Amino acid sequence: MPLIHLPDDILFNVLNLLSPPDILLLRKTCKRLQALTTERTVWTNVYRNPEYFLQPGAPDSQTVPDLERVILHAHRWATVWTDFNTLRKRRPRFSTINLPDTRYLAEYQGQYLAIGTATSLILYDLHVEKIIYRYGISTQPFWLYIHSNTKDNDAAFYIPFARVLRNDASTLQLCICKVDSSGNASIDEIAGIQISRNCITGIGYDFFLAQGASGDISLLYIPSQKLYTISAGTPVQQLSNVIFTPGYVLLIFTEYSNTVERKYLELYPLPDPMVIETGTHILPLHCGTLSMHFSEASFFSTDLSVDGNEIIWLVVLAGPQLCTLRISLQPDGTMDFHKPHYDTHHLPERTLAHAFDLRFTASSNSSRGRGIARVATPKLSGWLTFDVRRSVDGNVSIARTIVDKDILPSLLMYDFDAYQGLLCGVNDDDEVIVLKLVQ
Amino acid sequence: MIVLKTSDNETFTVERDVAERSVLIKNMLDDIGENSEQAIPLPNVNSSVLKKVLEYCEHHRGEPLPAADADTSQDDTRKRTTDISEWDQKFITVDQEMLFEIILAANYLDIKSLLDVGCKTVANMIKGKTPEEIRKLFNIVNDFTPEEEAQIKKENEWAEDR
Repeated sequence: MPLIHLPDDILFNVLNLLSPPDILLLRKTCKRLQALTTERTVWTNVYRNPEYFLQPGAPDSQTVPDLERVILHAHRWATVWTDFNTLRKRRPRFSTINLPDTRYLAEYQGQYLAIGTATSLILYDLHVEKIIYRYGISTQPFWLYIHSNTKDNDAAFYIPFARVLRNDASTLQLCICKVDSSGNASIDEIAGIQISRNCITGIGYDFFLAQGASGDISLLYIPSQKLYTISAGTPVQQLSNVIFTPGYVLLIFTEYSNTVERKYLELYPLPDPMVIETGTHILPLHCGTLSMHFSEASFFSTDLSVDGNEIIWLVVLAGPQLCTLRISLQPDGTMDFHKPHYDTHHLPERTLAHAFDLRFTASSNSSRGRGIARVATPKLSGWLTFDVRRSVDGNVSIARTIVDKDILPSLLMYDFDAYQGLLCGVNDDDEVIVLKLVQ
Repeated sequence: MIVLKTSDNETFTVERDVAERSVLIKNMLDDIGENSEQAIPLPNVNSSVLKKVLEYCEHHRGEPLPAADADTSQDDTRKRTTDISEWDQKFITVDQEMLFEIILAANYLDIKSLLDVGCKTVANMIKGKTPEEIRKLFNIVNDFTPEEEAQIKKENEWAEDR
């Protein structure tokens, strides 16, 4: 009996064990296998393969050819991600955008790039490789985010940015550029938020948070521009990290005394903008204190402990180490911390290595995350990549790879798309470069 | 001891825990009760295949069976690995005809781990081969017209390695 006379369910079993390129080659052998490999269930099964890092969104809404495309891309990207050396043989596609004095950039969904230069805010479409919007401002934008909204149907995404006021160089005006689904942009100036040049900001779930020059913390709901005040519970005023999680924003304040680094963590609920009036003071739900060194922190996942307490997992970057910090929210409003036994001296050669500028993306099912950070020492400059996995039993493992600058060029500032395999940034020659790591 | 009767009317006497690697046989035994002396008919399996299958069951006796209510599809995708243990590898080194017969028998008798070994073996045979090599290996007749072939090539152009 030949292979193709095996029943469908057995052949589906076999297809489940094959990689997307192998499935596509099988399609070319004969009509029976062509029909089987075009079945939706084959591709929705591959879609669930946790090896692939796929953008959130149900596969149900996509056609089979679209699914195939997305999955083949994810497969190729997973191959590169597990071994960046494959890029030596096959150089990534590389394009340069010539824009003088680029200060900031941010990438969105593999298609748009928001670029802030000394003279303008630019929206660039990576698919057609053209500037689709330019907002000329004679003053300098000083930082920039690009963020998709989840609730506002009018806008495709927002780009909050700040610019210097005409007659006052010390204070900055918060502006929001709103881009609709057809690529049309409009600019709103947000009154009521005073920001300084080096202030800490964060964005997530349609909210924007900034600590003003006076130390006050404002929380803005971007679509309706409702503005809330965060009433910090800590006397420590220096905000160091802003982390948005589903339903909350976690603020971390850092204080140094006698070489001890002390962190104050405060968890605030995100207000429902339909109900909570503008100007409302938001109070922390949970507070905690922790002695631990880390410079950058990012959201990884949430779940419930056996006794029903909510747990928030962060990944934190301390020197060259990325590790997880588990925060368990206690009913009395405190926090319990579980920090790993990490040891920065454990890596003899890399002790001097410093990683910074972390971009971390957690998968929607909370079990994986991919991060990348710049690393620079007298001996080494390049990138650190982190692959974080949480198994069913709750154990977290982190794989770390150093990718040197022969493979990925050093960039002064950058954005990284962990789904698309896209690295955009500004190089030493002041050029904006876009690296497509997946062909 | 349990008596199994194959399609070609041969009987095999095996210990109960060996036979119960097959969920089908286990369910049958549960239905007919403890003390039946009756031979269990297996009309879809011939003696040469059953001999092979029982060799597998004998070797793996005592190992935990996968839970019946386990979400197997999820499990499959989580362990999308085509690694096969050394013993199983040796066991499954048979000609194609026998391989497919074993797969069909494992499917019919509901022996999930053996079905997995069989499917993994087929998957490993396919991996990394060109369509022409796959046709040759499995005696597949190219039943596309030249026009259809050109169409498929065109449709899948985007997927070609560049």
